[in-house]
Amino acid sequence: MTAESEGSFLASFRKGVHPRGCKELTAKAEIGRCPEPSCVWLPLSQHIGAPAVPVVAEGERVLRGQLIAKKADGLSANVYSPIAGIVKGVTGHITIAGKKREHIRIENDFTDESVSLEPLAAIDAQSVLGRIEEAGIVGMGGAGFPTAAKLSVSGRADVLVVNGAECEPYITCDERVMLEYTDELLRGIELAMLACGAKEAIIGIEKNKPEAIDKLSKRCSGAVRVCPLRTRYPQGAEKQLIKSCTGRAVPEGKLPVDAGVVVVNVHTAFSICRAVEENIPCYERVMTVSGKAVARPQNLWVKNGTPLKEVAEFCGAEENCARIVSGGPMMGEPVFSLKVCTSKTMSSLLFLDESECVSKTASVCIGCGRCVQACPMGLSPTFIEDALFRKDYEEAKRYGASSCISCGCCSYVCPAKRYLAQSVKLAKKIIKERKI
Amino acid sequence: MAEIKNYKVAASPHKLDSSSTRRIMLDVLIALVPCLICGVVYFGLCALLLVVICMATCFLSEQIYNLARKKPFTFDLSALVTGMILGLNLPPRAPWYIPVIGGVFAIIIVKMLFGGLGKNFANPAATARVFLLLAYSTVMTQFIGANVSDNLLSADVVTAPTYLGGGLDALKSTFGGADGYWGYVLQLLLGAVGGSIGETCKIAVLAGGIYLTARKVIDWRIPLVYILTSAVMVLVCYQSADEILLQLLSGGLLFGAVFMATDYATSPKWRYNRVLYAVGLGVVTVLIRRYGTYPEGTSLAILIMNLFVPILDKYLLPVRFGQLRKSGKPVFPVMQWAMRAICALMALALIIAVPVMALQPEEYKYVQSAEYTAQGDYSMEIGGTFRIGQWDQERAYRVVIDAETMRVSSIEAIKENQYGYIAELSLFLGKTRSEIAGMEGDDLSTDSETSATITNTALRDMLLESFDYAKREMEGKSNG
Repeated sequence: MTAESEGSFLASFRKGVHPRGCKELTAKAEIGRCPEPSCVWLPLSQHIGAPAVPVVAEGERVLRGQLIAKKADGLSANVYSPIAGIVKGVTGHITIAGKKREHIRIENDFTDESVSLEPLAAIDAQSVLGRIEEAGIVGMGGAGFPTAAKLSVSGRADVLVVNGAECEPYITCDERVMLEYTDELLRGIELAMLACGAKEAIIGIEKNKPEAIDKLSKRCSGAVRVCPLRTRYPQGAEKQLIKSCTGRAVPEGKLPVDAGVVVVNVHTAFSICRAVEENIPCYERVMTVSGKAVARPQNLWVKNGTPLKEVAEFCGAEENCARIVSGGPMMGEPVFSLKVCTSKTMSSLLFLDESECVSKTASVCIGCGRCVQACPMGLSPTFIEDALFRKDYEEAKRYGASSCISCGCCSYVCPAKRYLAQSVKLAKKIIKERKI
Repeated sequence: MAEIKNYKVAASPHKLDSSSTRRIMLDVLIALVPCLICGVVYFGLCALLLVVICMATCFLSEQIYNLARKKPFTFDLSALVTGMILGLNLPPRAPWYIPVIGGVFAIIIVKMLFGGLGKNFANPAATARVFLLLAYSTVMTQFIGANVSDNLLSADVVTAPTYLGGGLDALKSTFGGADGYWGYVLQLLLGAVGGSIGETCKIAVLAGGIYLTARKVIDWRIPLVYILTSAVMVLVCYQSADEILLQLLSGGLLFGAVFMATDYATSPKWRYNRVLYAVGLGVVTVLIRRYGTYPEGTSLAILIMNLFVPILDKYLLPVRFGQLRKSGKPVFPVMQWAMRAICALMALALIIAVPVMALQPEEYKYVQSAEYTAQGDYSMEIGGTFRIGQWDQERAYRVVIDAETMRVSSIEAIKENQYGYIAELSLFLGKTRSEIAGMEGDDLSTDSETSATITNTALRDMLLESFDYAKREMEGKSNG
């Protein structure tokens, strides 16, 4: 255990890439608060699964922390109002993916009246799970998988891995949460352990956050321990993180729970603590606003549904910069309009200038094999692409296209600047659709 | 959509590694510069001209092909890399049309006809070299000796043998103060020997290799495993530990290992396939050198192993993360551990075999018997068969070497004068080993009769061995 924390023998998965961190822009900035938006558009689908069903009518007045959309049957999550104001109806509004989806529009009356959830009578596995579901907590690392569903493993998991790796460049919101809300985070981890029945919790943190490692190692005790990880992308990808922290390999096509592990993000654990102890549902989150085209890069508490435009204005961002990205630069989505609103899963907003992002033109593959060496899943991206272009999907599957985690390492290292990640993603989609 | 202003949208990842095709090719060109400089220093400006012609031909043929096929011009420097590697592979005094034919063959036939950059199945430079060797065998095996001052401005072809073609006779017996084995090694390492323009100076090749490895342009596994396998194969095929360094440092093995075997398009993509490929290269190279007709096998070995690359890439795949067998058990990375085991075994074999073989008493070619004289000096009977005049002649002498001064104190002929030609014994009397070793050409003859020179040369070689024998005996005495 101690060997892992010493010198170069840091726990890690194999392969991957090492992009420049660029975290210094915001790593030292305390979490601020974004001013209240005058109007919010709350997506009904901020999670994986069915969209929530609105339970408020147009013209109705809602308070901060009031349920406005109830989870649908199956995999879904509740949505709460982040502000006090008047519901202006359920309208179509663009999402980050570029599609029009239903949003609840609420106009702020700036009274900031609030309601909170009923305090829990007793804290046990069932009540905590119920509260996580009730508070609408979803995986806040980016995937947005409803946390209650993830933690309901009926004792099949013995280890809870807490993802504090934050391997994407620029993003520092998890690091700041670990530093500023250390005790809440640790209590949240204990609650999550209680909910999923894990006997042990491992907090995986990349070595480039020494303060967070130091602080958490000092505070945690008992079944919770910190595992310093090698700074390597994609250290925070679920399967890679499990491998690094526990040495277990999640079998291909299976879930982490099949290896006896449940993974939650640090921000999710923090939200669990807020929901259980302070009775606050999930309607706001810490977001990193960074990049060289931002005058005041910082970490902010941002209410869900805030138009990106307001966040950009508050931070003094240059809107006409080279590229705007939601999420990290490795896997993040490009932002084509600042009318898009924030959600539970949006961990960062980056305004990149020309020096930070590349407008690439693909050239021919020179066969260097760097994508094969970089792929953390052991795939052969260049051959998958080749097979995809030949429409030989069997071959693409043989090279492992179905196991792609879309981390983008292959595109990152490619000297010919080919769109390898997209090709593999497409091959994976076709293989899935056609059941090859 | 109305929302789109002037935001630029692109697919993730938004951050990219700074490498690019052109930068990689530039790195290879930079790494080749030391070889070119050494080639020009040893073989003169004529060699530089050949390399320049070759690079120009390669670049032009690629653009002309693009023009003919109505494709955009390519400025990725890859044609220049091919041209420079091929140019450095040519003999220093090849006629001007050799680089032109070679360049056109490499670019048009090997590279462009198969789809251009990244699509060729064989290394263009290696294939062109093999083609030239077959088509112009005489010119392509006509090497000149390395001589800094004489070669600079000259274009004369004064053929000199190479170690691979002519054995130890091709090397100077003393070099830079070291004589015997380490003298040979030193001159091969510095490249002061006959050979192709760029491949003689191993220091320059190694410098280029280190630069490319540091820049992460080439995978160090290919050259390293290639060299390791070759060393083991030399040990097996030649049954001599001394031969390892001489073989590795002569010919184009090192140059090929660093610059040609690592060619991207024609080497496997996965690292353990690369190890297997390099093992194959080493085996084929040494087999060709030892048992083939051609003295040099590097280009041919690279060409042969290139043909295996597609099949390696297709069927030997990396084990995927969490990959399961049909039975539900995790897949064991067989290939990975097999390759590691092979490399470890080869390294172990070298570590054990080299000292063991070096400790074995050397076999002497000429020394027949030896004894101590009453004064403690070495008295040896030496003899052998030499081709003198038109006939094989047996010669035998008794030589006494003074143990204190290590000088020849007496030589008498036992068997000589079968068909004439008598060695001039007085030439060697009272001389030390290094004095005798330094005798070349005119030193070995007092008259102009060449056969006397040959007779004296034969005696010289026999005397050198007697000195080695005496020296070993003395060392053995002092040790034990």
